[in-house]
Amino acid sequence: MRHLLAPLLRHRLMPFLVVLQVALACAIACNALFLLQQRLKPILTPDGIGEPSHLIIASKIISRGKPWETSRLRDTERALRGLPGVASVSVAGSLPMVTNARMNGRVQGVGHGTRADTAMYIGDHLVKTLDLKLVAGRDFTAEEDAVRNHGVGMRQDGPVILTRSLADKLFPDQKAVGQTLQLGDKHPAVRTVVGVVAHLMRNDFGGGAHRNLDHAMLFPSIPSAWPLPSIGIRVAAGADPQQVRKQAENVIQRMLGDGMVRGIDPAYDMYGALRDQALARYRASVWLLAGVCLVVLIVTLAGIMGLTAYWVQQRTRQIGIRRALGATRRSILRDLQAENFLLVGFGSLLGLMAAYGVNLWLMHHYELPRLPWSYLPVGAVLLLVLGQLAVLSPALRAARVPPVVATRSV
Amino acid sequence: MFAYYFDLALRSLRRNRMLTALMILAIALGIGASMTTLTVLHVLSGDPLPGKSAKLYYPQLDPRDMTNFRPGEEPPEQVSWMDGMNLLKAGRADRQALMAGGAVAIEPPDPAIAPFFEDARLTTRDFFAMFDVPFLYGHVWSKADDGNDARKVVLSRRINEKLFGGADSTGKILRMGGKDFRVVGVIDSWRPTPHFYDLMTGDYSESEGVYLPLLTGIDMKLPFNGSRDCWGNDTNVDQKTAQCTWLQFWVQLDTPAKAAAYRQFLVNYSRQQKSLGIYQRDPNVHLRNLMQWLDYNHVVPSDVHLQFWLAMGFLIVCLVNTVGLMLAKFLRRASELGVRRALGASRRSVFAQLLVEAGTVGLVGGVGGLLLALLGLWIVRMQPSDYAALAHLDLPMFLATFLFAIGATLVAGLLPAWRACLITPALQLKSN
Repeated sequence: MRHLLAPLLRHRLMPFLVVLQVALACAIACNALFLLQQRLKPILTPDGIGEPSHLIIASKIISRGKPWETSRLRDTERALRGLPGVASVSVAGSLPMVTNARMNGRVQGVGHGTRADTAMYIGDHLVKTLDLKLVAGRDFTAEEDAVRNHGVGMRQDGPVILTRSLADKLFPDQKAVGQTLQLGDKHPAVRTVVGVVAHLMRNDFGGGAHRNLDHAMLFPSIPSAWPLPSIGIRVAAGADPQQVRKQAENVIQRMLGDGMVRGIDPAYDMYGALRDQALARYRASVWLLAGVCLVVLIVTLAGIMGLTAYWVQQRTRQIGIRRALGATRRSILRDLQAENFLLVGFGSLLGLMAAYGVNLWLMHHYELPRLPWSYLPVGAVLLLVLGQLAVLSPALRAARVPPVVATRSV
Repeated sequence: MFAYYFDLALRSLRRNRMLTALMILAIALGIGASMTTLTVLHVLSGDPLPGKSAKLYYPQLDPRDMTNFRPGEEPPEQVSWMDGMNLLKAGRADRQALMAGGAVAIEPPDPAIAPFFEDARLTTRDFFAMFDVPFLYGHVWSKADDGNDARKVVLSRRINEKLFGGADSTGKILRMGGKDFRVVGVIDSWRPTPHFYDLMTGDYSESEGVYLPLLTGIDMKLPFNGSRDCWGNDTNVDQKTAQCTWLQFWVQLDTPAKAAAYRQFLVNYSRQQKSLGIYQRDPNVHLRNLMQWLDYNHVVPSDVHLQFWLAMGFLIVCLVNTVGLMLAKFLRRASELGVRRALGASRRSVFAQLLVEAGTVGLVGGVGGLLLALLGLWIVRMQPSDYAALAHLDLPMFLATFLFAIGATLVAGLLPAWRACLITPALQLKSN
């Protein structure tokens, strides 16, 4: 150990620079990776939608003056269902990836303490139209879908379908089907769980790290008194989605056109395109952050390599002497690796503290969640591996120094 | 002397191309990333009205009832019709304007152009003088027009080009919202960034196409564009009497003393409203100037800030890396420097020589950084955000990039150069 530390303490500048580089790289890479993971979340969360290429979403159907009458929406729905190639139609308050109208709330299982923040999708035939996978219970019945909602439907009793992750959160270790839940604290309205679907993504992806994007629930029937509904149209297998989209556009324009607000045209998107559009910002961020991480690591690798090469060259004579005195190639190699391990280890220790400090500062200023502890060892291991890679080539060169060097030019 | 050092620097840099390339690349990447994000930050957090912004203030009053009252709460971000009108009529500021966003259907005089909707700004006339809006033709409507429902309109250059082919259209009649308006003025291209005077319609949205007297627009019941915050259980939907805040009110106060006096006026006004039973809360006023108002509203997206800090961290990594590489490079040449010292070069001239070498790396790195920044900004412009189109490098930022790159590299070169100067020539000459 002493022969490892002594040279480091004698020439302090070189080791100091290596430690500094590693610490900085570690602090930045940890935070960038953490941000990256935050931005990656909406992209990686399963949205639960089956066959995205056969789902048409019509949004921005905004009424002028007062909200749409439910009967008018039902007529439109019926007309759409009559189109050839249409398998199912839903009129909903909001749909996944529709970001201009959203419904969110906090729910609580009756008799359970856990609360959860969740998205609400209120609309008829949603399980069928979105092609959600039921994993327990049943879909809403035709009677349930025909109920007249008071207002949008949040403050009345009725059935509800949850995603599996929301069910697990609200009713841990219990069957969710048959349980009841309530929205908020003030409303006495109680909803009974009738079914559980595998996944369904909420349509507000922002917010804290603790927010689960797979927390969503479905209420049946069309929301009343809602000025900006979305319409989902499931295209039958074998039919041409573009064809259906064009026809659907005509139908909606014919049925609702005269009641729409002027100056804003409805949008008719394929679900896949809508998803790409909604997530574009996140995807761009991910590329940027991944690029920064990669370049920081490469620059650090190059830096350590350059410094170590010089550091080894400086000590060629000493290495020769050690070789002449009987040190094997392997022990020279191992010593240099151990030295690098020490420096990089110390550097990443400092870096982890810095990473934590930077995160605290960011949390204070930019509403970022706390860096989980699990990032720190990952960052350290990453840099240690990187350090070993950087030292390999100079160390191999050092190990090849012949003992005869020691006898020269003295 | 400089030319000689420069020649030496080039020779030395050419000797170890790999190391030189690595240093230049590190500088270029660091500079490129930081200048890209700095430019975006600079564009977005810039002063929309340089020289004027410190005199413009945005008064806030608190006319709400006691429901959900929390002590120390911020007053609403806009004013109600009643308060706005009262403050406007009081006229205590050097200039003042009450305004709201709207939209209006325009029927072009040329039947070949289909009727279309355009964003409108409904405002009182001081808007133009207060915000230094440049006029291309004509002028603003008269003071009397603010109060008498006048059918006068000011067009933007863009709309004037669309409707009248860019000709002087003052005096012409334009049909909007089913009524005839007389064009009194056309303003030149004007896009303050951010869209500071009404953040409710988008932080970086474009300026409106038509400008109407406020009263005219309200009496026509044009579609409203913006945000409306209401309190109480009042079902009143009349814009003028409803308990809602939905207008922006700006004042110009030329001296700090006037600003202090105006703040006192707002407090007195609130107190008077409370004694009349119109307000329920104690006076709760704010008078922020333009930049404070933007800051309070977090107009610059936090992502832009985060990216900036990330890039700065990245630049530091690159610079520390350059320090290390340069140190290795300079110290490797210890024997050469020893010879130079032994032949009579002073420590100072060796130091200068090495700094010239560092500066050369900085210069080349700066050029590379500039190219990378241009590439970075091009990528930013491809992004789906409302400020994307604004990301362009201007001349000051262009020059700053070079100065920054060379400055940063010189700072990075100081330590290695100083360290290399300490070499004792005798020792270097003896070995080898």
